[in-house]
Amino acid sequence: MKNINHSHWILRKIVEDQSPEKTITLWPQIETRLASEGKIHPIETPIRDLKGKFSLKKAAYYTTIVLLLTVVGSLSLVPSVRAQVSDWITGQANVFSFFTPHSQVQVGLFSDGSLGFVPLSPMYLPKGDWVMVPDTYTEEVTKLKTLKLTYNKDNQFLILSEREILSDESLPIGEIIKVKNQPAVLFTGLSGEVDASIDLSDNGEVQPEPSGLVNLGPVQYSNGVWLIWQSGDIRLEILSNLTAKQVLKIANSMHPVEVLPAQMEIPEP
Amino acid sequence: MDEGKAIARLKKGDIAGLKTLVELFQTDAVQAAYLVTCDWSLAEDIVQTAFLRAFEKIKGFDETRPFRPWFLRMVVNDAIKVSMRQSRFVELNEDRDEEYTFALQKLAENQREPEDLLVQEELVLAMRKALFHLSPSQRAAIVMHYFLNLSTEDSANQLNCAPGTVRWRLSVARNRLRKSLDPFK
Repeated sequence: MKNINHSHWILRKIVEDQSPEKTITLWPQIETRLASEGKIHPIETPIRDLKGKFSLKKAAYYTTIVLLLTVVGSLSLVPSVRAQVSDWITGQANVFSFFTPHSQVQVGLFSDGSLGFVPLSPMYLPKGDWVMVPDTYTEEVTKLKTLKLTYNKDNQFLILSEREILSDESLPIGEIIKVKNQPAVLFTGLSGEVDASIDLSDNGEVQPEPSGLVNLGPVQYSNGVWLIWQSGDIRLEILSNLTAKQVLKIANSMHPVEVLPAQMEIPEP
Repeated sequence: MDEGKAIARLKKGDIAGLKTLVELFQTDAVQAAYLVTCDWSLAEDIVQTAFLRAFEKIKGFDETRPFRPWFLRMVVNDAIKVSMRQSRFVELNEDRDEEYTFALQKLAENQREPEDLLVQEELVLAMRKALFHLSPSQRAAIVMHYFLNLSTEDSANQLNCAPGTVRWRLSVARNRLRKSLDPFK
């Protein structure tokens, strides 16, 4: 006879006998419901930690470039070290080249290979001078490196996130549609606030701070669209205040970006 | 991340805080909701919804108080409401009234776990039948008191009623179970 709390033991046994699984994991469903109800969007999650006093998020923009140049600059007086660093950068890093339609802007993002895939980028965007800021972060839930591309034109935005697919990962429950003949899930009628407004200079260019970061201001949206689908080994999501038709056209235009080897030439001191 | 940090982060809009709270309290919450609703899927749904409501209400939450009772109060109250809605469509079988008494008496007695596995299984089965024939409010009182180990006063707070009401509910349930347990004595 064990000397335990008899009442608690009986109730615990009743629960355990009925529990279909020993472990209870509600978070994936809760996160999906939060997102589908427009209360949050998963791709915002890791960025929230960076939220500043004035509700501005700092998106990493060419941070890697700045860091690399800082390292190179600090070592540039030592020729042998300089050469080693130059070789290391050239050998390790690639540049993903993103081309933004209409505005004809080419944006490069250094990659050390940790993303695990070649990103896709839209070949179509609605007409207008769109600007784009790339960012990468580690998603807290999946622990996977995730690429986030924020496109902005006036008060219109499109946030595209891409990461590797988890094994046995399925799409959330929602309206099933097709993107390039593959199943996708579409949520419409979302509302909320997202940091997607990109500060521009007077001549219309993205203005990174000296640190290399770009301020993203808040955008209130209603009737938003959230599209989730998979392409090969990549899971993609789009959150936008464009129409569902436009978002689908953008999703169907996704194409792998150009990958170029990083070439760093370090000037003699 | 501990409970306090999770709440502080959630108040700032960081859902990582909510994720921590889910991981800390989902098991207690689902099991408690199941004991009130007798339906596992329904229990999970109730708890998911309760976490979403906690997300919405967290700004008004007093951080100096523990999250667990505050949250479980929502879960158990929701479970009672859902069960009462469903019980309108279920015909109660008065012939099984004795089972209630048996189960509550066993719960009320602070006995020891039987060694014999067959006796254990029979007891749990009988208790389960008896428990699930109680009213949702009576089940909630039992869950609060015996499963979540809350005091009568805490249970009363959870159920938004006076402590005397909880004692009454427990007393009624005990009496009903005592009768049904007679054959097992």
